[in-house]
Amino acid sequence: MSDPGGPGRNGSGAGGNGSGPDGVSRRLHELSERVSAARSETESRGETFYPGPSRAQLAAFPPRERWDDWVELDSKAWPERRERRYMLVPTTCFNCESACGLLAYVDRDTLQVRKFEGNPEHPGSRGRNCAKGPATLNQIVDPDRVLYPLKRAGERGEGKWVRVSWEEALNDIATRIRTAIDEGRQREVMYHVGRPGEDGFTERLLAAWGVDGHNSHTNICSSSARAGYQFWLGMDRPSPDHARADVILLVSSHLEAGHYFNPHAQRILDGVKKGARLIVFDTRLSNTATHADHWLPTQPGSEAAVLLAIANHLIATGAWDRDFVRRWFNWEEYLAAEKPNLPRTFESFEAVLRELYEACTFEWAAEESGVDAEQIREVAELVARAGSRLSTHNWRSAASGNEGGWQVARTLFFLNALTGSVATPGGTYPSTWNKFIPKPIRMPRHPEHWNELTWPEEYPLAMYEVSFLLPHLLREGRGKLDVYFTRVYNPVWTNPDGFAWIEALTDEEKVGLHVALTPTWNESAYFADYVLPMGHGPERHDLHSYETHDGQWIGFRQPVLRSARERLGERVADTRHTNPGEVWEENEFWLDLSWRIDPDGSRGIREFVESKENPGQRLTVDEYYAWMFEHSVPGLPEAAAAEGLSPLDYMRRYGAFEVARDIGPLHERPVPAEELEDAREDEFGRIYTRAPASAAVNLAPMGAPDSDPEGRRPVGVRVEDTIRRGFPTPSGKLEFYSPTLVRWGWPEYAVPAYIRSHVHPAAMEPDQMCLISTFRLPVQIHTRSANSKWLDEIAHTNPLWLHPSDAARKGVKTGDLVRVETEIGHFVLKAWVTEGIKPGVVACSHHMGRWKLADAGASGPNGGEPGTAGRGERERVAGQRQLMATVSLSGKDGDWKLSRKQGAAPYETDDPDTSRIWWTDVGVHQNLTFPVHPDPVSGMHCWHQAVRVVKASRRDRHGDIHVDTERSHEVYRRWLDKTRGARRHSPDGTRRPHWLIRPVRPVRTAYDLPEPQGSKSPDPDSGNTDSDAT
Amino acid sequence: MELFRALGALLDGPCGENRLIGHLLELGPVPDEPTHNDLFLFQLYPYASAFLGTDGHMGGEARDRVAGFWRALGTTPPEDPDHLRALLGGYAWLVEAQQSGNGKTAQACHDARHAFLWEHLLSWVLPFLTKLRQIAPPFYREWADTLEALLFGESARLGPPTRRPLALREAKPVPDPRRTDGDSFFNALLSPVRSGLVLTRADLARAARDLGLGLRVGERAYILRCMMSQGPRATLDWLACEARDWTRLHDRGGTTAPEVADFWTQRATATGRLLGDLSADIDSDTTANISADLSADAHNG
Repeated sequence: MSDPGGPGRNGSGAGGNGSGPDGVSRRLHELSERVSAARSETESRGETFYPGPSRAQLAAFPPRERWDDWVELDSKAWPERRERRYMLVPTTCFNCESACGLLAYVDRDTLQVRKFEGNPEHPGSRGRNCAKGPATLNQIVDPDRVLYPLKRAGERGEGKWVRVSWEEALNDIATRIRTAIDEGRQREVMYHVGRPGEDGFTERLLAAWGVDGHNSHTNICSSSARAGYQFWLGMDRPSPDHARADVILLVSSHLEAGHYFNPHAQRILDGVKKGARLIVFDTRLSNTATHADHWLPTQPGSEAAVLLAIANHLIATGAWDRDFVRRWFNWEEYLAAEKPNLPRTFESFEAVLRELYEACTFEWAAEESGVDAEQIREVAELVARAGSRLSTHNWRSAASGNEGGWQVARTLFFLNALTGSVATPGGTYPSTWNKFIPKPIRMPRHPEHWNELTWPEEYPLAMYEVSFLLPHLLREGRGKLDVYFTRVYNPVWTNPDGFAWIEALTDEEKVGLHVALTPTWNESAYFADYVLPMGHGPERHDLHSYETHDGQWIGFRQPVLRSARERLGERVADTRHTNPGEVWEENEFWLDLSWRIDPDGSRGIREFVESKENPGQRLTVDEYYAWMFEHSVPGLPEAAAAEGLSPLDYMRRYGAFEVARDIGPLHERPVPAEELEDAREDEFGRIYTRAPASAAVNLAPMGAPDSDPEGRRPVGVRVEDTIRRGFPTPSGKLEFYSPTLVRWGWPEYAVPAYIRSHVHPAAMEPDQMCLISTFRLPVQIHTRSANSKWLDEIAHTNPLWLHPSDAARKGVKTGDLVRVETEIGHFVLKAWVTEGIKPGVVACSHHMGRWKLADAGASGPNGGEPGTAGRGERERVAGQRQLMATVSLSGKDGDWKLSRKQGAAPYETDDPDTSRIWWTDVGVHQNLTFPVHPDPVSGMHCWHQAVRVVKASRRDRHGDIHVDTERSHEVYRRWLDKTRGARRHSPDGTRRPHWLIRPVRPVRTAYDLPEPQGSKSPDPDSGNTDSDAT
Repeated sequence: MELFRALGALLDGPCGENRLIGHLLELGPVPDEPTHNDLFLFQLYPYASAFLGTDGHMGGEARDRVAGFWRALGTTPPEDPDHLRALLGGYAWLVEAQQSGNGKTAQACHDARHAFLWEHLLSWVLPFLTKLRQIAPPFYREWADTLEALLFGESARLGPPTRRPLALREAKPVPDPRRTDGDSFFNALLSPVRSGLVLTRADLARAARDLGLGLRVGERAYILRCMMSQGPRATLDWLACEARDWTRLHDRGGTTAPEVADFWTQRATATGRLLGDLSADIDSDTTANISADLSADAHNG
């Protein structure tokens, strides 16, 4: 008795049971039988007959035909009944990557946004939002936001600013970039992105400049998990079908945070309501763990051991999908390479597989993880029963905390691969199949050079740029930056080793010009030369698509006031005209900047941003999106025409479009005969063809396996007697065995394995504990919610989670100050004694400890008037006052100190709520005290820290931070020694396997390793020189 | 029992899957989404609480009763437990549980099914269907006929209840505004279980048009207040006329489900009598004062 209100599981019709022979009864019985038969037939095809249970609840949304003129009573006017007329304009949330749909309620009388609610037309979020969505309103009316372009007036970091025009800023920046390009210094231009905007927009733009300068935050976020998936699938994310699963296994806290939290959380709950069992791995009792049927509080870093024990159970008991494994694992390649003496039969492989994992017993996993063996067995049996309805997810969590964390994702997906729950209803899909990126109006060429500051040769397998190493690479003289953009990114605060970032950003020899593109003040912007105001979610254009379920959709972020005015008949050619102050959107900014970089078109850049409709003029965002929606989104023109709209108007009106649903197992699709021109098959069944590839409809990134030696492209893989599309891996199959890892220096990791973490108890001193620092608070937004009052009131500090047994041992109680000592320094904060954390482990949340400089207020939050350096609102410190402490900062010879001078406090503005701020403590900036820990394979920063926790001394003050950056550089060098670089291990003289996903992929020749300085060829016998690449 | 579930699913609107169901049930051309939205989001709310609640609003004790039913059976209530889709799906589930159970379980499920039919479906669905047939396009009229036939079949199969459903037993009639306040009076008028009337926004718009009164946009109680402020006697007479119509409409169901139809008939009759008295008394000082009181808030708007 589990689901009284939802569609039933039993299709046995009983409509006419016991009814009399009269005509009505017969008729009802006949109808009932007819529906039953149709339902059985539909469900036998694996399709859904009854739509999901959510539709009835969503009936509360204003129907879309009334979005032009929607009337509500003004809740603030109560008890007076004052009507407000709204235009409902869709956009998407910018406050995490999920990009859930939002509806802006634009007051038709004032043309101001009054509130944000969910957009029921959005296929991913389905009208639902977390707290961060509606809090967008706080962001757009934030009294401390940056409204005008600002230019540094004193020394960098001194805190003096002057307002400048966009014209001046654009011309200055464009001139520098143009000069760098003309002088062949493309490597000195870099764009560093935090919260991604439009899929591929800036990557394409940089490529058009000929610049391999894209730098993402991925290596402090998700690259280890991506690596685990990429080695298996050739695609780097999972797309779990939680809603149809029987068992949901999360190495994450997806009911409260993560990508793609809200869309996934609602589908997890859909699944649970239908009877799915929820298993959660988390050292910490997260909100997600509280909802689990099985919570496994694993020792940090031991997750892969538990997952392998489950895999061993599946293999040993035969509870695996033998046929799927036989058809889709690259077991023949494995036997050929690793067991050449065995007959190349599946039976041989089965025997080897059993041997490979037989040591991974429940007892062994229990010893590693601290989780009871019996509980692991129960979970394993649940997984075994799930069959093809096992949905799993890992994104950051354990993968991003630990050295070898990429094996967490790899061993997790191993369970899907063993159970055949790959691209099945209720299983786990590859991300790319559930994502749609339309082709844009213009595609650029590939850059011709390689940027060693983002892709150093020590990390040939890094999943995305090793962004967080930049200060150290600059310090080692590996290059310098002439123009460095931080774009909605705050590396000083977000990255580990923030003081090293300050050292780099204040050294004009290393960073010639720092341009911060940001909606709000942040810790990195203080060290910029330009601070350029960019819009929040409802003030900008972006197009995106994320793998929220087995479907494909696009979501359209748009400046809602611009769209509203256009709906009223106005023509708006520049988003600045409808945004507050002179806040701009990035797409127009980049188009304009590109136009200026190449004023005469001689560099080939201008043509990339030139209008097709009006040659000689710059491309507008309207033309850009109109072309894309008209030409590149299947079904959209027809859907729009059915409503008498253009595709662009359709997207402006509804904000999202479902391109396809129920994508299914694309790997099983047969390759049509016409694609098999002069085909060749290798010894493992990989098929290559000379038939040209058809033009890509969907640009979602995936692996690009190499052609055969004669230049045929890979097109499929033989599975039994049929050539099927397969996976975008070199073998075309699921790569249980990774030749890539073997060939590039990691043969011990050829198959899914367990790597002991750098915070394994055996790797720590007896008085050290593991600090978990990555978990997020459900209501905060990295560094853009410091003035989101609704969110700040809920969550504004980050105490240290400490188990009662540890607290008793240290004589600490809740509220006491403790000092947490890392390898390079320490921070001081309050303790929170809780049983929600495993003994021997401490935890401190992300988001908190924001700060503003006490002496950064010389010119106020929006600088002085144009041309009047320093004469702004002098009483104000630039920064956000609701969640940023005011601090003093000092550093000399690498010895850095940060002390809190004042916490949050009430203040007077037009908003009476600012005078009601009741909290002072805004937490501590722990990341400053973390050295970099680049994983030697994935390049991911391994966030977990081995720390000592001691009671604070009398001299310690809450929020105190002390760091020695000389020691942080030593730690960097120590981790660099773990690498196996391309110089020594590349099998073909290239920097990186060409087939791996890489943003802004340069031309093929740029992959070739350059001659090392001072020698003509690499010397493989000269010892491990991987780390000495300077 | 699949028919209960299929009819419930159609309340979700004309999405792709439901078009197939509509086709299978031969209900005729499927209305477009705006028509569906107007019917079930703006006019006639398919929630038990909107019919059985004390003030015609969704939620509250009337919804809790349905949720409590499921809890008593040891199951988690569905979201929006009193939405008709959830009720029909739940009923189908109960029948299937009865059929797949044995001995005691089957008997318990039978008892639960009987109670659910009378307490949570027949207690309010017949007036809902009556109103739907008045205002809906052919597709939903056919839908209403099919559901009604199905419910009558179930009532015949399971037999009458031993007592009137709880929601009907406990529902108080519309209070006399001469002895209470205006809010209570209007809220009760808009609560079908209290007044016996089902008044939609469209009904009130029709009344304003027929009576030559201005129509103010707002919630239904507010619209009624505004009408009272402009034409108290005309408004009361119109409401009394509606009550008489509803007396006849309820009475028509008396032969097939007298246990509930009698109640609804009596309610509408009593309300019509009260409204008639108020209209007749409109010139008396007492009622004139009340009329002013009833319309007072409208002027504040």
